Amino acid sequence: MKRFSRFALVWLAVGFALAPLRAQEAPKKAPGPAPSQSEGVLDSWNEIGRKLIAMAQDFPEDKFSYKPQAESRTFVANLVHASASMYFFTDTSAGKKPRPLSYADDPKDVGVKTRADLVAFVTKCVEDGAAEIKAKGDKGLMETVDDGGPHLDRLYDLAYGLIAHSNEHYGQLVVYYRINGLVPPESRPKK
Amino acid sequence: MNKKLSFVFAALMLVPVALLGQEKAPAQSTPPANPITASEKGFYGFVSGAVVAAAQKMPEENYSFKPTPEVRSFGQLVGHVADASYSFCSQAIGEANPVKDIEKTKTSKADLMAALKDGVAYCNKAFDGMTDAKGSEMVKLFNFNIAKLTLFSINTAHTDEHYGNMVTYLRLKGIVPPTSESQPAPAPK
Repeated sequence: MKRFSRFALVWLAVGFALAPLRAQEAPKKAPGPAPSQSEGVLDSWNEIGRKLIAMAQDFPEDKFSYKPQAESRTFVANLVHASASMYFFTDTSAGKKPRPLSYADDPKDVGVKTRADLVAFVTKCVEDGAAEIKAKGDKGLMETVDDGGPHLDRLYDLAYGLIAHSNEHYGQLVVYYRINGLVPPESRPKK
Repeated sequence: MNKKLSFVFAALMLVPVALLGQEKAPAQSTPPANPITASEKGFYGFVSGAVVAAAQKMPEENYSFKPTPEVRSFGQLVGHVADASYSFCSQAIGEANPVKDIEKTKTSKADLMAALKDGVAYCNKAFDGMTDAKGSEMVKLFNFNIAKLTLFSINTAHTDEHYGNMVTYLRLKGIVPPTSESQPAPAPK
């Protein structure tokens, strides 16, 4: 089945910005074909990945250890956790047992000490998953796997499970930004 | 299973078992009818359930709480999620939006809880009439062509992000978020 993805949100935002210009143009071109299932998953994966990478590049390094409450994860631990868990999809999809760092919950677990380390780590987690989604394609994502849950899961669902997981942590980190008097990258005026 | 990924597993639990085969069987099983719709509904069921539970768990006196002046209060988050549910799901099924401005007009916990539950019920009803084939039909969203199922997908992602907001609001008030309730205390290092 063909469908657009959540990436459409970004497209919509860009579209609104350009609307006045577009209205003056002569006949609109028909929309191109909708992305395939795997392309839709890939767009969603990369979209939330892009937002997480942007935060890794942007949040003040001297606030990496900030946490809103004693039981909460620090900023950097939250980002490491959201990113590392992507390997639960990536490795399972590749037919491997998820690597131990899939469960990383502490920057020390993955050797992240500086912003550069964090950006590199988050970027690799996103890119490795994206490469796996591409490799699987539409047919491959419909394969079912034993991921340790009570029933088999399709890789498509596992990928979306991790995308959802990342979205939730992104939402937490947005509040971390706001509490520190900062505007999240996505909420700033677009240049 | 590591407790830290319980969110993912809990969400996957709601992907209909019957559609995937109740016994663990070799990979490459035949995809069920309407697999994409079933997946979307399962994930939405989990995420919307988490938001409703968070809204229920936050005491009414904290519905006006906001961590900084620039952001929505907890109650406004609840209203915003309800508004968005009606907006996205009504467009997905080609109906006029039946309920608007919840965020602007309701402030009490009882009213916001009711509105949120109604919004979720509206979306679930919308899912019930959906198939993968119908979901691939394009609809207009403003000036853009979007697949119907993608509207559900956007709604789920939107709900999920705001659930993440709520998690931190709850933590700031010393309340354990619903999706962390069943987790054991971390082992001492």
